[in-house]
Amino acid sequence: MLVAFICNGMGPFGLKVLAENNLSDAFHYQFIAGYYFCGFLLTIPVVMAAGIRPTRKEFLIAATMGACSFAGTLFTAFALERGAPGEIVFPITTGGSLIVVAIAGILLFKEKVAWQGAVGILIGILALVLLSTT
Amino acid sequence: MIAALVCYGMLGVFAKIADNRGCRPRSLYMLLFFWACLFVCGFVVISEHANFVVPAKVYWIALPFGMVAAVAGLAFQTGIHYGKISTSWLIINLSAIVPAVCSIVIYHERLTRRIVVVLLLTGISIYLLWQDKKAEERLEKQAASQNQVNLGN
Repeated sequence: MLVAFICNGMGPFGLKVLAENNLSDAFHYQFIAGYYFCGFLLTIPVVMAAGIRPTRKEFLIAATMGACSFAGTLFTAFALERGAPGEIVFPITTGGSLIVVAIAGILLFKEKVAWQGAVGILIGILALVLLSTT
Repeated sequence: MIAALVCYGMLGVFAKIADNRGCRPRSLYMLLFFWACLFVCGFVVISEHANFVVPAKVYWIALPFGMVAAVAGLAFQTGIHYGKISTSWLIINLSAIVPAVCSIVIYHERLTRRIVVVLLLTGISIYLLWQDKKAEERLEKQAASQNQVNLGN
């Protein structure tokens, strides 16, 4: 999870590099297309080396996840374009999605969270809300 | 805004569903990046008149960051097999602090009091989630040894 934490944080830093090069406004979506394509390129040899043949189930679930990922980005952009302030949009989308996943974890997947976990989730949501209003 | 919230939430829920249904992380993330790329390309074709001729710099910046994102996806999907989605998803979201720290280190942005508080809260949150994982492992060990005692009797 430490690898996921660091790498997942480094990924969006590309948007900052893009913005520093004054390319963000004009080529935002082309960058995201390139970003996903490069991720796809990296995973092809990994899958081939392991001799994995994707199943229909993986194909469908990945399509749903890809659609959720893209739609999430698009709806956030639409909300901002329609004048919703960033200090409201970002905390609601990130904090809210965490609550959705935490509730799903407990109700759908019957995960048991100890008091440390529950407090950790609450503090984490608070940290994210603070970060997204920066 | 609510639609974005639901979409991001569903992304986490589907990651756990994929794990429960036995989807392999490598295969799943290769296809996820393929589909996401296809959707964005479709959007560029519709809304920006298929304007893919952009400065090469855009794609050169996308290259390392896209690859790092793929590593993150693989590591996350492998990780949720051994942990809870409710805590793993939080850790993934808390990684938003990483670009903030990188901006301070690389672009010398101002380190505000708010960022320091967020960093502290992130540390505390991750520590508590780690303690939660340890408590869960302790309970599993206790249950296993109890089972052995019961079988012995």
